[in-house]
Amino acid sequence: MIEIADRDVDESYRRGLADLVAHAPRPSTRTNERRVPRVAAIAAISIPVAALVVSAFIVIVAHGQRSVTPTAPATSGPGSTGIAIGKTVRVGPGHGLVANVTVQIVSFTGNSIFLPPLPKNYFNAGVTVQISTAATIKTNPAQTAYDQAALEFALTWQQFQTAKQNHDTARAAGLNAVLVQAQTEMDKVGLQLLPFNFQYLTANGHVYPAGGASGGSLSYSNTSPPKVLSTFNGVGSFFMFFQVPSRGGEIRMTDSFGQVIGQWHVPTAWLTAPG
Amino acid sequence: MSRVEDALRADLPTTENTREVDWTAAYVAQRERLYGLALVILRESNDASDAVQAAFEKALRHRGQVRDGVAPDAWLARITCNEALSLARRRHIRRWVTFGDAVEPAAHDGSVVDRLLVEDALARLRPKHRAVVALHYIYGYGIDEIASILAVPRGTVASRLHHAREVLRALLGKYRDDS
Repeated sequence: MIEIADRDVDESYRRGLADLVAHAPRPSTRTNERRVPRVAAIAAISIPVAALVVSAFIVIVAHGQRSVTPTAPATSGPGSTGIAIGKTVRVGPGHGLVANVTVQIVSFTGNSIFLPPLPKNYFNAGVTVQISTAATIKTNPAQTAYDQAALEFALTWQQFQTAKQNHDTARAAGLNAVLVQAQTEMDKVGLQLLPFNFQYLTANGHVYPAGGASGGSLSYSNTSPPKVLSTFNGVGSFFMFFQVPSRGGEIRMTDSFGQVIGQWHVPTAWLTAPG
Repeated sequence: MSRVEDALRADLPTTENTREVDWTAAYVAQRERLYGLALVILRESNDASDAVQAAFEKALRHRGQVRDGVAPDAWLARITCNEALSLARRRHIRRWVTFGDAVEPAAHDGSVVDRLLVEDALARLRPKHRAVVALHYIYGYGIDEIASILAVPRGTVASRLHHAREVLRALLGKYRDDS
């Protein structure tokens, strides 16, 4: 019998399991086909695709795509010139965010009970992105200023909540004025940060915005201001999905002015992972 | 409306408790991967979905027990593993079902052979071995992390992983001999 190395066994497990899970049947969401009631509608929660600013906190600026409706082509672009999935893009201070950004995995699925319904002949492209803000990466002044403003806002917000719970209306009113001022400061500084967005560019040049995103290990919070993602030791990842009519193409990261600052080429395979 | 949804709606995070996990976001972010984890252990999609739902309900009920320094995804993986293994025991899963008709041959590339061999290997493993396989190869957890998640000694994890490797190694060898 041929000797099989551990490495080959491991690779077979990884590829086989990825393929198996990606194409496993999802339980039906139709009531008359279910054995027991299941969670399905929760997928309708629309989490804004975030523009991210990273330092001690990653701040979500909620000006991203909110809609999870099927995405009509927005613009056209040239053919793919991206780097491979798993490769890292270093985003410099010229684009506000200072971090290493990696598109780690792209996987395609059909309809899923976990995601909004797909239009006919569309796929879900699930994308996992890792963001690293290692200590060796310097933060720019605007980012530091924003962090300070966000921190002050957060502290004031906590005091405001405490005042409300204590029915201290006078203090709450005063803090509310401070909150408005802090919010204004955050908005002003935030404009300098040029946070980024992600898009999916199909092989025929159509651009699709993300249908939704959530912060996996980034502990994303979209319900309490300020919208923050806290990283663990400066590293975190989040998941987003695109509803697209074809596989392949590329994932694009843009700054808030639409300038492309990162491109990852997506093969047509159902699962694209580094290595 | 499901119990999970009810619980999520009643569980909006508060800024007073900065350690509070946003469970809605956690649910959206983790459910696909947890479903994959449960699916590998249980090898049946409806059972896997049941296990993930039960895991989230349990996570919400015991959310106050998340300690500082414990990653929510590892905590959810632990609960999901326990639910799936519990379900496997309760239902005495000995029916070596396949993963069904989800195979779309035209959609697969070279990984189809690996998938079929892995399905065969999983069918020969017990649920607790499959849990180790899923945590190691899907989540990328190391032996120590898996030992912590499953609350078993690291030697047990290493042994289960070794056994799982040997099963697939034998199948790979047979496949290569035959082809």
